[in-house]
Amino acid sequence: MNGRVDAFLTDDERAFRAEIRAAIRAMLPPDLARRTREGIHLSREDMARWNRILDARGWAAHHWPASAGGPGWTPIQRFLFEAECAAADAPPLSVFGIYLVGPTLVAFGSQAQQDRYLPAIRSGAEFWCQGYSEPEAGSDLASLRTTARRVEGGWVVTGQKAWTTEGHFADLMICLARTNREAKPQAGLSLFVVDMRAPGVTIAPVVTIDGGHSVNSVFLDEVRVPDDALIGEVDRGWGYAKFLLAHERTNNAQVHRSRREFERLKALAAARPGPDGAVLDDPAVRRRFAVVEAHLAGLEATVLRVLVDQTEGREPGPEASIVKVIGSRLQQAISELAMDVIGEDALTMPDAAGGEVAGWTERHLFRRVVTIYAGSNEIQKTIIARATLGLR
Amino acid sequence: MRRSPDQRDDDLMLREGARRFLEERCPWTPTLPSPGEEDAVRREMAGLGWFAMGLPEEFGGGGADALQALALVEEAGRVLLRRSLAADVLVVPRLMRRGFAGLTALAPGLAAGAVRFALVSGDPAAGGLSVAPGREGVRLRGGGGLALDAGAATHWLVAAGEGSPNGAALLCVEARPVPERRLIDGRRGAVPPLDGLDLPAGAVLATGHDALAAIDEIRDCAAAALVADAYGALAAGLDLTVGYLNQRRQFGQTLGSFQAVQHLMAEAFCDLETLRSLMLWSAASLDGAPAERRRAAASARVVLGREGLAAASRLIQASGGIAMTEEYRVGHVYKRLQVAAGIDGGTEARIRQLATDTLSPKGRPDDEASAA
Ligand SMILES: Cc1cc2nc3c(=O)[nH]c(=O)nc-3n(C[C@H](O)[C@H](O)[C@H](O)COP(=O)(O)OP(=O)(O)OC[C@H]3O[C@@H](n4cnc5c(N)ncnc54)[C@H](O)[C@@H]3O)c2cc1C
Repeated sequence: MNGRVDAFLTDDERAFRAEIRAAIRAMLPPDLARRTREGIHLSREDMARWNRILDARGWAAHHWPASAGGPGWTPIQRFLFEAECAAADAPPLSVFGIYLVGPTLVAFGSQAQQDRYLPAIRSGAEFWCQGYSEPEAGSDLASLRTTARRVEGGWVVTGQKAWTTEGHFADLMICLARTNREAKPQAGLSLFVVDMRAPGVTIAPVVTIDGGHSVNSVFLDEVRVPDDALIGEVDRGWGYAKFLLAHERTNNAQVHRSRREFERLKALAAARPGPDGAVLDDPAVRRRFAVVEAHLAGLEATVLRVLVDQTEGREPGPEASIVKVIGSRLQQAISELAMDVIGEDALTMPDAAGGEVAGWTERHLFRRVVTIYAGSNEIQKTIIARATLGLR
Repeated sequence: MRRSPDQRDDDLMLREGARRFLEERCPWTPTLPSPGEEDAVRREMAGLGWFAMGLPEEFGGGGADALQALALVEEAGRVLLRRSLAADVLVVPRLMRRGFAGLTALAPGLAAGAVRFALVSGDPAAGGLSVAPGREGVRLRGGGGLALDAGAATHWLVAAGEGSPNGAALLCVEARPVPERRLIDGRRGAVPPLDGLDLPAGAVLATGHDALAAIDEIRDCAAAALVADAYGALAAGLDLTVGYLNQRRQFGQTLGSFQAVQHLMAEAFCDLETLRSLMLWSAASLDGAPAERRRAAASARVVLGREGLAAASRLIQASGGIAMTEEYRVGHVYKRLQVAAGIDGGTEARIRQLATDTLSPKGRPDDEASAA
């Protein structure tokens, strides 16, 4: 791979990377790699399988603290691990269990909750979904209406969740619900664990513009959850949700998947016939690749700046606030470029196009979402302007 | 190993000391300083040890690393210092490590501020520069490109025959009088009259592969410095603009409270910090493999010419009419960025270089493709 930001790495980190690379290449079943390349919404079975393989090495929960069953890697080591997974076309780990719920429970859950849920997340036995957004509460999440009412021995949750990714195969939902109508919108929210098979939970699929099914509407009708379904303290759920967003910003950059996709796209453009030689022989195409290369390096270097600070025990600087914006844009730029590289073949219905071009069109269509979810880019820019730059 | 600009105890001291000195002694004003004033400031900088700092210890230097040298360049960018520090605090001190005798003899003079370098390379449009045997030793042929501060320099570091080890040569030439050109951002440059110049053989520091390696390092170091300077200019311009937007009121409220304006500034910030990340990568890669160093420098210059310049234009847009005036600093930040983007062949040349370095050559299958 000829476009990498290596100069920030120590010799030990390079050695670590070599070790990880060899291990992953040996562990990853080729059929999983192929499906990861060609599809965008992997099946639960595929994700669970890879999860299990990694867990056998103690690597599934790679960014959890060692006390919670993580491998105890530094932020840079985790970065390298993820880079190697992406480079090998390993399936992504489920965003919700590994990245969202695990760290939330480690930080705010009780010991009993950690003992109950963490092992099954690590092993891939249980899948989670994130029930935050609602039809009337998108960017303005704090206005959500789902309520949790206190009853003898537990809570009763009622409301509608929107856009619940993987809700149709998840076992559990981490659900943000209103527990206090009196308080300010942000102050009256709490986090709960909801069993997706509990009576009163109904799931309706939502088909996205790529033709795929990954998101759902979830209706919660008087769903009873026990006392110990509450995570942390009552009415503190907003703070917990925000804490996590701030901590996981660099994950949102998707830098490794972008790098891998870009390298694959280069190979594709070099192999596809164009008007004069290969597509990649066209100076206009080469120019676009070079510009994306520079942007990708800019993203990699920015993420590494943040991680180097974390690894060496310093607070990251204000640059941490830009990675979601620049990372999501870049993901879109790469898939837009893919559409031009593939040309008319990318315009036929996905199932008609096979072989080397499989998956690019769906990925491109679904890619519009990355500037919308995880805090839309408009919301991110407002936060940068106000919190980082101090505009008022 | 060092991979953060604010890691060592002395990093902050150096940066803050430099900022204080520059803001006191050469704050930006719309009127240009006289060459005499510039020379005086230069002597004070030498007194502060800026030019000795990066020299190898064997030549009386402080052995500072590239990040520290770039911190000075970045701070100078903040006040839009007209005379570039890049050659004397970063490029030439690093080049001294290669031990070229014709250059190391000048180390004491450089440290004292008496010797000042300008970096000169061939004008590709005019066929570049080449070296041939001459009457006294060697003779230069062809035209040089526009070189920053070539008129104020005492020595020109000349890269000839770039691109092929056969004709490559690196020369150190005593500067001659040369008509200066005023650049749009108030800096000065000149096109050194090199065609037909006869030089003693001692002017040649290196030839062949040695020269090529040194020329490549000079180019990438200079790029890192150019980006550090541009980042400094932009960062100070952003600070100024945020302050202005929080104070100027229209429609009964501050401009900074309008979301459209906030987003313009957030965009500028994203571009600015991406640029700084690339500058830090360029700095970190100066000690590493030449291929990565070259990619880092080219990437940084591409983003400088595109996003950096766009960020400067956003500062003007957000400030409104005032930024169109000669009296206000933001327009000068834009001009600084425009010069940085356009010098040495400009952004498109860097994009072409990055394409060549990262994409499979025409007509040859990509390694990745055959491996996949
Ligand atoms: C495919 C997909 C998967 C998702 N998965 C999940 C999931 O698993 N769990 C979950 O909880 N949520 C999920 N989401 C929801 C996602 O987080 C929301 O879509 C997101 O928060 C934006 O909300 P919205 O779609 O209601 O848009 P809106 O909030 O209605 O925004 C519409 C547009 O207006 C802009 N806008 C809104 N407010 C402002 C403002 N104040 N200033 C400027 N511009 C503004 C937005 O940026 C956007 O461009 C998913 C969404 C999608 C599409």
